[in-house]
Amino acid sequence: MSDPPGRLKIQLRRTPRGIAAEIDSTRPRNAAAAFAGRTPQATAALLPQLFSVCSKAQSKACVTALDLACGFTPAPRVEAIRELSVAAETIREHLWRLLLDWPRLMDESADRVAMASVLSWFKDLSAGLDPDGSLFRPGAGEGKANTRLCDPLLADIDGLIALRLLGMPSAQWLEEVTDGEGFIRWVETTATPAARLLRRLALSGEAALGGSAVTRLPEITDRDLVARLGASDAAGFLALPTWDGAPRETSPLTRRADCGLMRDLTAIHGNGLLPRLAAQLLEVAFLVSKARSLLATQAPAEQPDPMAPEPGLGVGRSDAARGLLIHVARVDEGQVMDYRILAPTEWNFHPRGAVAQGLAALPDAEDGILRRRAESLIMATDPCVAFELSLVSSSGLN
Amino acid sequence: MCLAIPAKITRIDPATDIALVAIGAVSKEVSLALVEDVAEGDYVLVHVGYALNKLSAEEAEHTLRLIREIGLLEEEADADLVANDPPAEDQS
Repeated sequence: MSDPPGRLKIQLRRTPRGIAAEIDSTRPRNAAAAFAGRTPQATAALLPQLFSVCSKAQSKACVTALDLACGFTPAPRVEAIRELSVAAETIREHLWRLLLDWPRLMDESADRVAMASVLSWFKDLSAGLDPDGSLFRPGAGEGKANTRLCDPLLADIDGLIALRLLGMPSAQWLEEVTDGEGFIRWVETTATPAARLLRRLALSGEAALGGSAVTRLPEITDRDLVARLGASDAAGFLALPTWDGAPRETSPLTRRADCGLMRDLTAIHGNGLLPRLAAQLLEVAFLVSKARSLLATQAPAEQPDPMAPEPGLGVGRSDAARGLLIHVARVDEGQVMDYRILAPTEWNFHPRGAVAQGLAALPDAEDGILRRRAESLIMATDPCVAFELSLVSSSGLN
Repeated sequence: MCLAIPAKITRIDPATDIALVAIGAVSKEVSLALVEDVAEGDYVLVHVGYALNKLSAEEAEHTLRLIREIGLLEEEADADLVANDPPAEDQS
């Protein structure tokens, strides 16, 4: 196999009834099987090497599942620092989109200099939060985070975000952009590429493009998850998940759906392009504030169920950049017997899911416009692998 | 599940900041715009057309061994393939 991470092959086809969209994924879904037969400690150590793109989110879901399965209860301070690590990683992942991809949607150059600074920032912050690499190990002690080192680093990233994206510090942006009116004021008065892109979308009539009827993934209990993943068709579910018979979405858009800004934007534009992009921006501002709060209080914001669904079984959840990440681990006599991972891209890029429906809802247009709109929608939902987009018209592939 | 694959830098074009890297038996072009202080022979993690960060040879070999173990990378296969994954055109 020459492409271990896999990719999404997305094809748009013109039909007499409009655009038909097909999504085919070559992403590996059984890589977690590599952990069977290993100890929980070895599994927690190997996992971030394998899933290194969102390694903090993966590690948090992993250690939560393994802690539960092994009967360990992490200290609140450790939970808080783990959450902070995941928040920082999500900021980094969203900034990848905002600094590298968003400018390209306006035919401008990607801001690689700023993104290189972001990667360097994340490396320094991670070293401060987890200096000895023990933070995400099952049964971790108190953790050894150097919080004094981390505070100025969070100020640094807030400064970069203010300069390149928001035009102001995150906390001020969250105070000023609380609803649709505040959002319009902000895009009209801010000159950053992000604000200009959103303003252009709002003015061009493309804000609602790519809407779909797919609803958000509901809260699922550990017991229901374990039952679903223990069913005979579990492999099919992990590859093409649905809930209550329908495809679902888990993303920044669904995660922030209840805040005032997103309520206003979705009331006008549905779950189309503008609300999707705005949710990524909102999440950056929100997570910078959350990270600062976690650092100050060292108390976790999330309260996972401390009870294992059954002895030796653990479920771990993590709000990764693209959506909810779920790990399920079964441990017996100090050995991982079974390990499953359900990732957000499988929900969001399901062949009948939010992106597929949104692409099929795009109005037909000349090839260049259709391709740009389709790429915008794909990027706004953000797969974690490369994608190939092809258009098929009456004359064949484009 | 987002895998980033360790790759060995085989050639660097300083004019474009693009490197040719080897992943198993496959060659790819990646951008070095996001990393500093890398040289031919170094291992980097590659994700959607960009080198993300430098790895020690030991870390890289360990991860590659794991990826081979789960059947996602074959050493000898696709020996003639040269895959281009330029960040500006094909990425997530």
